[in-house]
Amino acid sequence: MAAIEVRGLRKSYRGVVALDGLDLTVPEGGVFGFLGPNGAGKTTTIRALVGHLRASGSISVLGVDVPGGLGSVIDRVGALVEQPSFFPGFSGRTNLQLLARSRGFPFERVDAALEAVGLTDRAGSRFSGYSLGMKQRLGVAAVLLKDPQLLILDEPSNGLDPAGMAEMRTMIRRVAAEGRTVFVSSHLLSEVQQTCDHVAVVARGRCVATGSVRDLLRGGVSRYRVVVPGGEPERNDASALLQQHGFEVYAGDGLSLVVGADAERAADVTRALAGAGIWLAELSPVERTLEEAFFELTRDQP
Amino acid sequence: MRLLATELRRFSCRRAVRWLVGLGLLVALVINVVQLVRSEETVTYRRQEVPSVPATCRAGEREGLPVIDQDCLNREGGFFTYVPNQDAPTPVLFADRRDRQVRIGRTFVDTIAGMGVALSLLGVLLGSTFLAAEFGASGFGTQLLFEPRRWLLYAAKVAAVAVGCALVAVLLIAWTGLGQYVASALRGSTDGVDGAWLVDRAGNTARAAAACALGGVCALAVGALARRTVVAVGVFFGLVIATGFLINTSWGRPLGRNSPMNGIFAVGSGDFSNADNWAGLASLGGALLVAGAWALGLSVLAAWWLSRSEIR
Repeated sequence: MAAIEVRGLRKSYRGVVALDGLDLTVPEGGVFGFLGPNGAGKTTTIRALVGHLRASGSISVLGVDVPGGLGSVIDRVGALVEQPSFFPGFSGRTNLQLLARSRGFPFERVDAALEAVGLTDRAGSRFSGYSLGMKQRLGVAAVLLKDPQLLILDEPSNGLDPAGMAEMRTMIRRVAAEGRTVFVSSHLLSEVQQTCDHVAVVARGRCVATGSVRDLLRGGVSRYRVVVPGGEPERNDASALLQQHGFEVYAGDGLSLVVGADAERAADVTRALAGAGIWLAELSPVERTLEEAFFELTRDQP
Repeated sequence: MRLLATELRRFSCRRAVRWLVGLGLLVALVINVVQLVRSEETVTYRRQEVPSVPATCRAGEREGLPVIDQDCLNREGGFFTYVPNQDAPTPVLFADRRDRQVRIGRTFVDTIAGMGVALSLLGVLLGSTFLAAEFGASGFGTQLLFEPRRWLLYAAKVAAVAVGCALVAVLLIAWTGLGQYVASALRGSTDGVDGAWLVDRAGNTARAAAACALGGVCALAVGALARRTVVAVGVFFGLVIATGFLINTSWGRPLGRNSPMNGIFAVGSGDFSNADNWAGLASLGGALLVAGAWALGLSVLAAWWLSRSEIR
């Protein structure tokens, strides 16, 4: 069973299409990144997942239809949607206690959640006095209050300082290691690359790519790093030889070369060099960064 | 029950509730202290020459002149009911007694009636701010992440506002009554305060509490529909004015008499004596029916609207 299954999700706002038949499958376990440029439909999707808005199409969360059946699984779904919203006149602790009371959770969970996000010292202060980062931490604490099987986090690193972002990464990895599923939207590609096992890229309300992060980074590999033993003369010889065989060759870091070749022609590189008596010390694909992949996938979407 | 307890706690935690209740308690205390200080029976003397000195209503002598009890004279029908003689005018002192003593046994019923109307408006304020303040960035969306069944959540809020407003009303009336009792005991009279009196006043208090609760529930619904506190409060104060206008026109009277504010005020004041007056519904049952129907109708409408609308 998939943790989240979305089929043909559509939503428009006064003629502006926010979701255009989005399909998405989030497997159980691990961290799933949900990427897309501003206005791609990430938050709209998340709001539909938690029943905050109605969209046409079908949504299943932990095996139940949403929004109709959401009440039966809500204790197993923790969500942080957009900016965390709490009553400004109440303290962080009171806000969490009210949420805990509404589900019959013991108040010990409130203290544990506050401690998990490092807010214990400021738990008695009014929410209105919290910084953006503290508000974000309280939102995450509310998510942890439920001990959820599925965490849906919309831009959880918003407003966090570098240390807070590192803590957030650690927390996300930790809860995923406990067997939970974390569905996280973010525009911070480096964060996603460091944290996520699987990703989906959404653009203009449609899913344009999905798969493991490794597959996404390797997809369309067209460059290889070539290292030959010896010094600069050997490197120059190899470079000239490969150019004679029709390859594009660039200088890489150190004494390496970067050769433009798709996966099918990678063997031709070794064959050409070996034919001239030059033996390879290394031939490895040059992975594109997630940022490069992201821009390639989201560029020129109709 | 868990949701109701949560919403009641949320209601009682709100600063607006605490401030308004605190203000109410303070106002009641000040009024009671003023009543306590002013609670006395004073006599002033007025010298006047009269054609004859009445035989009755004499209250001794003062400064060598006969004293006439003015109250007694009024009760007896006035000075000139006595047959005057033709002698020369005689100077006398008329004694005017002013009784400002606090007598809870006599006046508390009117106090509750007055408070009933004020408590109706307090209920409107408390109800309109409760949910309207939670829209936007103030937590309603987060609450739905813990209880996505919107009808259920709204029903819990309705119950919490009704119970909360009623408790606030009972607290304020009890506080005012306690102050009046102390003032009456110290510098007035507690005559008439007995078991039957307490039962009667408990009934009056329940009626005022019901008015406060109905005002709160109606305003909560309008707040949920408008999603703005100021709009909800404005609607109700506009209704007060509109009702006052309509009820004084022949064509609008049925509408005005059956408006939510008229029903709520009638319940609060307990004034069913005059079918044409402001709170002119003929019986408590009728007033409760009008106010209750509005509260129920508005609540169902608000819950339906809430269940379909987008939450940010």
